[in-house]
Amino acid sequence: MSKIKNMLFVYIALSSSLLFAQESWRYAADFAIGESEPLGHVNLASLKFINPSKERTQNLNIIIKDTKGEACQIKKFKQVNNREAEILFTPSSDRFYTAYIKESGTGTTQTDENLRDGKMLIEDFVPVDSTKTGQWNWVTVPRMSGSFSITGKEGTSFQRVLLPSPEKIEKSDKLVVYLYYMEEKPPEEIMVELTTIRDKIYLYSWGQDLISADKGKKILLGTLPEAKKISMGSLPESGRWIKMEIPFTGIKENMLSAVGLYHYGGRVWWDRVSINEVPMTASITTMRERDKKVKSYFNYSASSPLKLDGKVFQVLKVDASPSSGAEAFSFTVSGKKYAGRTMELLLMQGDDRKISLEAECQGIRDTMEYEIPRSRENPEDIKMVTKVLPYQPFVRDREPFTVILSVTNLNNETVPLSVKGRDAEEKVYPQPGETKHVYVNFSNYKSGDIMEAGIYICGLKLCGKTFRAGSTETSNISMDGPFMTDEKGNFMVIDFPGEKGKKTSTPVDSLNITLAGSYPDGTGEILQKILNKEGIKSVISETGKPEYGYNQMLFSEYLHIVGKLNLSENGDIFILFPYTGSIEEKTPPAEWQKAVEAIISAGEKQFSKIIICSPFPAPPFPELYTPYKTVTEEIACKRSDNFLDVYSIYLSNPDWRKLFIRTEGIYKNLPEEKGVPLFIKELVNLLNSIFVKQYQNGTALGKGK
Amino acid sequence: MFFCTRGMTQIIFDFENSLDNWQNREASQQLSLSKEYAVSGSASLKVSVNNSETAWIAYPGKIDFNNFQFFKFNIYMPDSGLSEISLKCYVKDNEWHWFETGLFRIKGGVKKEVGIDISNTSFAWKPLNHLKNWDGYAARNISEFGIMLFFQDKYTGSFYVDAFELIKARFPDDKICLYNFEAPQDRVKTFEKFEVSFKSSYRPENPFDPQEFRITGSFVSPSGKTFEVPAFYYHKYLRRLEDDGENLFPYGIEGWKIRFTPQEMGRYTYTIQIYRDGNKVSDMEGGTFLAEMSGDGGFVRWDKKDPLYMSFQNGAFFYPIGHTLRSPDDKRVPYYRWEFTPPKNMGTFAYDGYFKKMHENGENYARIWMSAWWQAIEWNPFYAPHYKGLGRYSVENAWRLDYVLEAAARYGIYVDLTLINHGQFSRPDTEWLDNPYSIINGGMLNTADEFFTNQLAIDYFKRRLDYIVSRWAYSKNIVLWELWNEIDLTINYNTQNIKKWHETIHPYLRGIDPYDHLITSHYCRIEADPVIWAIPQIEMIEGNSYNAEMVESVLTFFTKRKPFGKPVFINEYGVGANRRILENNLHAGIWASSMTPLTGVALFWYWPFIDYFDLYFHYKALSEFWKGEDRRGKNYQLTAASVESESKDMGITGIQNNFEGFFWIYAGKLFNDKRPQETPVKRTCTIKIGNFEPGNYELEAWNTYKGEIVFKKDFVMEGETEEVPIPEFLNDIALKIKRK
Repeated sequence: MSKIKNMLFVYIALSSSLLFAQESWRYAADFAIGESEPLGHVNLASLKFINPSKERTQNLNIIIKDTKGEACQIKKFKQVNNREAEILFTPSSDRFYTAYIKESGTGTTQTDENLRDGKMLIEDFVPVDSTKTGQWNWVTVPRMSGSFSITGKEGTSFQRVLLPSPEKIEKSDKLVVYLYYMEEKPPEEIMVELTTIRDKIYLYSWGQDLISADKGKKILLGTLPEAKKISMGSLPESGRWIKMEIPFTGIKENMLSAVGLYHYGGRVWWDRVSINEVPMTASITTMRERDKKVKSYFNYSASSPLKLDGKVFQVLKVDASPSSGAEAFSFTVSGKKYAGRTMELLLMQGDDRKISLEAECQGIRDTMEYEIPRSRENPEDIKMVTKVLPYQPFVRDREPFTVILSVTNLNNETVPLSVKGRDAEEKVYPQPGETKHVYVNFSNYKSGDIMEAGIYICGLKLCGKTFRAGSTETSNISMDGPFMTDEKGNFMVIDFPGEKGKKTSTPVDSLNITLAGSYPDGTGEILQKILNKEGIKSVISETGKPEYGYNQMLFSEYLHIVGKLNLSENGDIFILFPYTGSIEEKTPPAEWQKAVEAIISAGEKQFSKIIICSPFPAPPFPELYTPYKTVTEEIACKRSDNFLDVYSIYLSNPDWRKLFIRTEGIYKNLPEEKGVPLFIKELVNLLNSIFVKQYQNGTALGKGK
Repeated sequence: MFFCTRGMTQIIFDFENSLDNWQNREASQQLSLSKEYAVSGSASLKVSVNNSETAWIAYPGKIDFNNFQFFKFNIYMPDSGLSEISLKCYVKDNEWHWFETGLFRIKGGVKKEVGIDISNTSFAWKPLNHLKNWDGYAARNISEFGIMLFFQDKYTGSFYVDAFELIKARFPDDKICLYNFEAPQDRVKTFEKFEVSFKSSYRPENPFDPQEFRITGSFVSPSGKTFEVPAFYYHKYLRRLEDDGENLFPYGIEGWKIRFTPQEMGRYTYTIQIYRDGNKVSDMEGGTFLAEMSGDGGFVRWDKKDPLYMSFQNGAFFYPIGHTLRSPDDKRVPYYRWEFTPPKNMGTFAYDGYFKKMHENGENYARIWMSAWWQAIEWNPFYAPHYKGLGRYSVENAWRLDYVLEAAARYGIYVDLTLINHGQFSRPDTEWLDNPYSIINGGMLNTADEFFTNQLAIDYFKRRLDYIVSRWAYSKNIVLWELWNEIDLTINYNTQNIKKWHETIHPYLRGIDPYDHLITSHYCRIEADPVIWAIPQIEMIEGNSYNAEMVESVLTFFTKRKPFGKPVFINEYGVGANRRILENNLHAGIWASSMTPLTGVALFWYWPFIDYFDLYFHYKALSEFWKGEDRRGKNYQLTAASVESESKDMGITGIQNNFEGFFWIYAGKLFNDKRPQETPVKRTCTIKIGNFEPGNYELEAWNTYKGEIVFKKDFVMEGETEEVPIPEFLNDIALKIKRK
């Protein structure tokens, strides 16, 4: 393999040498227009590059040829500094090109020195903090460039963007917008609105004059103040992306504050809206130097200056891929060495901005050095919003758990982020305004651990969300909307034992029974009376109802019961009727099961016996309660607790629905008074059977006088 | 979407002639029609996968699963060499909440029919990353259905899907019943909310259209009065303060509620009626509850004896002292070099703080807007997904208003609830372009001013009022239904159209509101619009008074409106070129307006300014001064008192009758000047008062910043006027003079 590689290298080197010899070019840079750029639509491309020569940039003589060898017209040569330049050229239909660079001292020929800079307004996103009005559907098909185009609804619709700060314009500037519509659904009118800083509105229209403030016409924008409407002619061609240009020659003001895109009838897609044409971007893929086997070269991109806690930095991305003939790469930045072909790092404000790349192959080394220019822009606070999405906080026997973070980038450029959990790290690159969801897994933790999901930008921590592993005995947990958190704001994870604890019965004079959950009013009193009647000495306490407030009901129920249990003395029997609140809201049964099991495990620590009841089967849709019935049965079975199938007790009664009727047509969750004895009878039977078992086990009972 | 009904089933996608709008969601795959492996008809949808571990296809269109029990489709992967493949289906509801099934297993070479329970009782659909659970409304409002396949390794090959069928429920919703019925209270205090919650077995296409489906509660009071209260569609939300402000999480499933406020002591009984397509289909006994005596004054009314003022139902005087709380924050800044940016998006959390501080400082009144950016319920879904367009309401914003009104009740704050802000129907604030009534957004109005004349628009607005009344009329903390904010700023303002509109809407709202809340509309411009001020449907004349010469401005505002013999209120004011001047304007506004026979204290606009600089103490002082003072029946008139001082800028304003008076003496340079001075000034003066009956009087002088009496003085009124020297004070001082 390496033999073939070497031969290939020799071939390339030879042919390059021949070419250079023939053309007398010292460097040849292969470059490509980006994959998402609208090749064939935009007639301008840009190549920004670091000058590989020590010659001053303005002295370089550069020509660009496509793959067929056709030379492309260089419209403008912009010197960024002595080492860096941007070439604006007219592309052919090719994506791939080669720039030949000669150190002639005569400079590069330009054909349009007055070419105005382009400023993108809408391309996959609008500037952060813009105010959007209208119907903004971002769609992937059809699109001309980037990832999306925008469209509204069929018939009539519009998109209007009020820019966060007005853009400076000159009379020689123009608005460039691309649009598409289908032949079978043509609009009758297309209109573009430009609003200047003084709220002066200019309207440019193609097709019929239908969008108007005038009565008697088909009116869409009836409340537009007096606005100048200019007819731009007939509708453009259908079925392909059309470039529309609106010159600013008629605009008196020099600041543009809003752009609106309207259509009447049909459906229209819009893309790539800019002030002047924004060129397609190209980047160097291979840099070669005559007579050199190994040529080191890197591309770089640097973000605008950003600020975090007073620290100012730029995110620097360097890529050594364009180096030719090399197999190993090593960057030196601010005195530190980094091995690798690409890297992202932070350039802090005071850092040495010199970057050196050493490329190497079989002992042959070449080095490129470049000092990244300082940005003149004012640093802006980095704006990321990170949130924890609702998660399942109950874990059995410290099983691994997953949380999902949503990370939203509110900066005007894509930001490279790392989300670090305990076990792994994931990289995400949210675009401006984009939200990414990142899964973070946690395992191998123990009770009391604080686990962090941290958001970093090139090693600098932006924020962290912390999760605390607690147990059913953890106190000071409170509800915070959809989450349980502790007093320090850590998100809680409640670990509970998957198997029953070893609480054993102790001899007692009277039975201490605790009732928890949703059951008909008076249940405790009736039960007490029956037990008294049967000669069982008992004390019945009830945990009452939770205050749900504006919080998740399931967790509120858990905290309510467990809080009461943790405050109470040990008891004999804990009877849990599931709360109807979380069931009525159709909490997913798998989540519900874990919370109920956590409650049971807390009960098991304090009570000798547990009775888990299934929920009552509220009519008319008992099937809404079936999964919860199944779950309670499973918990009881798994933990060897007693189970009272209240659900089936009622369903086995042919007239069970009537027991829940408030009046004909109105059903309650719990049985009315006449239906209460049905389950209490079975509960007493169960209690009696537990006693019998305990007798058989030889422990004392509350059976007394 | 293709429909073909065969008895109990309905085929919705058959791929006979087209892809039925199914789309690729993976770049590595292609969709095409195929004549192979068709289950229904002669064609199927072929998905060609190229070197991928996943496949993903979706139908991004609306589907209504109502009255269907199951959804099924056929999938076939001809490659019998393939090991087990996992498949899951997902749907997104109309707010883009994602629900997905568990994993189905399919095998290469084996045809598989996948069936999913889509009924409202189904547990097949699990929420992903949210807390909303599958219910009948999610089932009715599917905005995307998709299928995802997971291969064990990278796969290249094809699979086929066909015959997507809906299978009808065996028991369609013929007999409507209410379940999960909860009336948690069997006794409530008078003027406390009694609330019944339940779910309905019938799920209308539009739960906000009373013509399609309506549930009402009829409550009979102990004295035999009947109140009809409509039920309203409801969804629960959880709230949390995140880094970007308040986040609301829709929680659980949909439901209905009836809210009622008992105004009499004794036992109430209630029945519940159900109407479908306008016809009553059920009339059921609901239950009873006991209303017990409370110390609450009840709803706010125009006082029967002195209708220029407000009082509670129990007769107690209500004098509004407060400021605007339009929405949680405000983008507008009153002056250059504004020192702070108010926290954004604090939502209901902002009101927790505002109300608490207002309550602690003696305020009892606030003005809140149902604006699109805060608590509107009817707006364009493109603006935010919780909006549903015309005739369908945002239950998310409705929940917010629930919260705010409950917080208001907790802190004793009474609310002027503004139902429409002018920007919705005018261009300057650009909201018209987002308005669902606009033809560009699918509405019926070509121009915004047609809102006042278009019958369909009027009908939609009435329907919105139905929902507003059903959900919030229970609240005694709502003082006013303010139909409009700054109605004169709407486009093409036409007095006659506005008049007719109020003549239509006012009686409608009065007719459906069982609690007779006060109703009015608000104007911006000082001169607008006397024709409308005069109509009986404008119960109180409200307007703005933005002016640096605050005292003059308040007096002019009042005197222009006084001839109409109606309550008068300044709803907005606040100007100032810097912090100190604006604060002085705030101070001047509350003291000057309270010293005028206005119905309440003028409402300062810049509430984030008050909050940021903690300026609530101005209200504390004012409320201390006015504590226990009842203006009703006193025939207070603007005073003719005058002030003499070495300082030429001293002014006095006040109200009095022949026995008592209230006066505010102020440094005009600070409080009533076109170019106000900002530095504090010390003053002494002598006031000349008159129009009092002869006798012994007591004068109390109050510090207007601390709310404390700084001195008291007795004097005898002998002649027509009396001169009273006032010792040195800073900036201003307030006086109470009463005959002993």
